Amino acid sequence: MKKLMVIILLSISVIVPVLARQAEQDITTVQSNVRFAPLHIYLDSGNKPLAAYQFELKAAARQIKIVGVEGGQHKAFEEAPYYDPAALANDRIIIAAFDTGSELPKGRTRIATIHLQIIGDAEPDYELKLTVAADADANEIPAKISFEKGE
Amino acid sequence: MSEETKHFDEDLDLRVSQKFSEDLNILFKPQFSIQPEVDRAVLDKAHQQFTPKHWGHRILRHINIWRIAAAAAVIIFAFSLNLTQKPGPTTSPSLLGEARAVDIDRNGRVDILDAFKLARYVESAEGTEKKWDINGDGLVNSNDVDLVASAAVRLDKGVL
Amino acid sequence: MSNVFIMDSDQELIELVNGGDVDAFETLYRRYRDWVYHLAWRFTGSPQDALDVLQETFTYLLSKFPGFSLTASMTTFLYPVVRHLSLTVRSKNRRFTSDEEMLSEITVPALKDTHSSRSELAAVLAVLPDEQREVLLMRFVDDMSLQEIAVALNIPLGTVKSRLHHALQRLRDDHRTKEYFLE
Repeated sequence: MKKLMVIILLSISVIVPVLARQAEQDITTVQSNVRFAPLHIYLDSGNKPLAAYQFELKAAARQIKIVGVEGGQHKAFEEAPYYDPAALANDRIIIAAFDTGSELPKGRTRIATIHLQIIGDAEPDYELKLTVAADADANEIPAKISFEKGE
Repeated sequence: MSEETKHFDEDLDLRVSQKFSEDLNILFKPQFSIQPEVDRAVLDKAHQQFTPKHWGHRILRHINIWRIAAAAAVIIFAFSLNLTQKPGPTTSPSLLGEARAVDIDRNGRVDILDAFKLARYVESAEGTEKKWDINGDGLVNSNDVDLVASAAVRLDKGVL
Repeated sequence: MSNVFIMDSDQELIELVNGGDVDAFETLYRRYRDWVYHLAWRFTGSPQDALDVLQETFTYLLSKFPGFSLTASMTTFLYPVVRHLSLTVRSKNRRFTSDEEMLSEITVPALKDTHSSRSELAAVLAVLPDEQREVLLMRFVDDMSLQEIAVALNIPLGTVKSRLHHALQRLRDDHRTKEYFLE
């Protein structure tokens, strides 16, 4: 019996602080109703090597805030791309990058990841538009742009 | 703690000592000095952007009106030649000039291909075309490429 | 030195800058330069990165003219700009860190002096939840009012008060930092 009491008391002393902290976090989460999520952007240039791209992402007003931008998976585009800092904390951004090297991706490749602060419970309506994709000679090439939501 | 923020303490039972704020400031405000070159870099950009002050604001407004009218005439003429070109947002004359300067391939739009083409030119080291010296520092290099790329991704772009 | 306006409010200066007055911009710059730099240093942890953020912040402010309208205080406007530019500069130097990770990495720098109360204050601050520490620093280091903090962070005023209250309560309850409180 004594052992059982000790176990119960020990459990309470561990659980209560955790629950208290969770409650505090829940209060702030409920009050701010905000979550962060990455959006991975993919470009499929088929059998043509991709040397440059530019696209625009936007969402309906007050659905998202853009909090950060990250480069892509291939070495040619792993550095952070160009974008207007004015886009940060807004809901529209133009992103572009190029590489003058010879090692370029073909097919479907992740070109960038945009980190978003999502406001509210509803899933945002994203509009993603490819402005241009080009090969190593700066000739425009057809390409398909898409996105995937990350965790 | 400044006077203007003190009264907000009435909302909270803070009762912190002055030493608290002092120690926090010592911890989080480094004693580094900011070099004059940094100030110059920022203020030079401001000087480049703003029109000369000694002209006076009123005269400036009149001059700007005529420049805008002239630019508008150019824009209307340009679009009359190619009606399929999609117009973008209007811009001031200084931005118009800048937009023309960064349209490296002269196709009427500023996008990443302009920066890409300039980067390839810079890497080929074929020469130093003055017209590609976008930032006016006497060199054609990656700084000019970065400027063109920044113009390409700017959210409020001008029209050519 | 160029003509410097020392009595104009921020709003008056901005109206002058909208009219093309570069001296007014210089005054704004000198008024907020150190504030921006200290904030950027706190976020980036690097003096050089902080200088980059300083320049980018005022370049961004410049891009707003003409036609800029200040709807809040300058610090409220500048705070999220500095925060995000600091994130950008940091992401260029290493693999990308999120906003939350940047906040969690605002560690207090190791002090050269051996002032024990400050080093203990630093130790207690280090274990505060990130959002509580941020509000605390905005209040006592950046000298922002609770309303300004709420606007800058885009959170309700009640949340600001709650976070600040909890942060101060933690400090008050800790024997290492209770001396900072008046009772």
